Amino acid sequence: MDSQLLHSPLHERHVALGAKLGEFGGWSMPLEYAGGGVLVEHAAVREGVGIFDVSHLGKASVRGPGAAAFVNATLTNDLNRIAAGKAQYTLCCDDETGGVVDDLIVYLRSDDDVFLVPNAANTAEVVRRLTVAAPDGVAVTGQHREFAVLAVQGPKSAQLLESAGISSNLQYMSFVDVDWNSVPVTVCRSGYTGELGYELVVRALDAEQAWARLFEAGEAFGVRACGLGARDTLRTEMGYPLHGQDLSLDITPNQARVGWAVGWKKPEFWGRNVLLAEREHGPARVLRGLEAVDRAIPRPHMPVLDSSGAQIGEVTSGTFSPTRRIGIALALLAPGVAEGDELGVDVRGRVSAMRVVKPPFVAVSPAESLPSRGNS
Amino acid sequence: MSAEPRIVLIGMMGAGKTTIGNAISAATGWPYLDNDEIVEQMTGMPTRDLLQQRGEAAMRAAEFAAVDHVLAMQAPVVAGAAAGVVLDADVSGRLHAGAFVVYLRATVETLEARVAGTYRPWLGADPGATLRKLYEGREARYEKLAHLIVDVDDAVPDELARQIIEAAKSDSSSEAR
Repeated sequence: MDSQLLHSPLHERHVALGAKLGEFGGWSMPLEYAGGGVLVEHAAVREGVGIFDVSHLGKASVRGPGAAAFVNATLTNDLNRIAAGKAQYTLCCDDETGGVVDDLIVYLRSDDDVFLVPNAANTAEVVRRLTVAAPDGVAVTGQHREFAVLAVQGPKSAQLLESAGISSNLQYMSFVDVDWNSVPVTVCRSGYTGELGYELVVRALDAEQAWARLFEAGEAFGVRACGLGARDTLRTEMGYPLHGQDLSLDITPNQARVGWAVGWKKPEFWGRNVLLAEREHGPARVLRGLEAVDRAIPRPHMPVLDSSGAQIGEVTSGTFSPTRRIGIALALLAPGVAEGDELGVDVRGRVSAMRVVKPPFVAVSPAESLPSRGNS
Repeated sequence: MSAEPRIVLIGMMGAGKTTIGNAISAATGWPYLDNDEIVEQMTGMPTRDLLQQRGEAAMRAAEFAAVDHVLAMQAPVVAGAAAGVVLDADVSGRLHAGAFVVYLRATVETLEARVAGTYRPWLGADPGATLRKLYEGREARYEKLAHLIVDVDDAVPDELARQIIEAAKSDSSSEAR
């Protein structure tokens, strides 16, 4: 492992749990744990409850008079759709190209106080762009290492939280700041798995205590520590885009079909003009779900072919679905492709049949079926 | 764009999956996972205990699940599959489609010499005869399942590792990120 990599405040815990570590956006984070592994951890979240350390996710504050209005004039989603105490999935786009610099979560605390959770690898760039654009009196502050983020995910996550002494009574994408026996914590009902779940933001110095309390409370529910390997298979089963694969500076929100996270009627946001024009003319490619008709397992960058063998796109995310036990993928495809079409994916020179489907690839509770974040 | 291979080593017991897997891991830093290791991780029980306490069907089921585990893991990864994965058409089909499969081919004489003195109770009183019988039934299946076949009899593990790494890197379906 590269010694330049950053460590989560829970790093020692992960090592003690026998975690296999991998690099995520410059951080050394758990991929999976001894005694578990990606399939077991994936199943724990679908059927019970699992806890992820996602402290590599970025954190930044935007504060000062008009902070929310400033964020609303730069990031894509319409902050006026939500009230204080709500969180929102939004995008930071490049003003010139409309490409996605990052997808992130915005916590609206008040008109003058907004908290951002970007992806690890993009945090510095998001903070840089906002800092350059911020009006006098509005301060953009990177807080990447000040906080830890724990995601408690799965049908039993509410019971776990209650048992740990945290009220689970929150609407989807709502958050509260609570004093958890002298540990200040922001609890938001959100996640990246498609299951009922909560994300807890705590100070880095409280991370170990929070982790220990959650696992103590979770023992009765069979809680498992879950690594980012399972997080990726869980999010892919939901069809949630991951920045760096399904979203990037080269991929626009129209192409990735996350236009629902754009406040089209807003007078101003980065990329507005170019994205409106693209929306009107139709994007040149569209992100769609593919599921294997045979045993193939699609992987990123594999070419997607039409029935004549011509390439009409490329896989951006692909994996073996632990729930469905088939290969599933997200792919950027030519706009003419429709759900139900049968296409081919070139797997080692052999063309395997894939059907175009609308994600999610698995059945989940409707309230939890909106994407909330990427983890590159 | 760097290649992120997903290599699965197959072959008879004694073919050198663990040795070569570890050699690949040492040369590249890609993690190596042995079938036994994955089975123990998933079931909390070593393969040997699983066989003794829950029977052959349970052990096979765990070995097949270990293949799915490797397919769902984040690449890069190198893994050794259980010798018996070729017995199941479904599992071997998934494996062939989802990983770069390398058959470590050895003559039955090499295998016999290598397993002599190791603890492999399922080979019974005459390990040589058992091996030969297993070998006959499986060799063609291993060859069919593999994307690359390497002969291991007189080869140096580090040299084989190098050859496999090269092939995996140039494999068109190596994942990239």
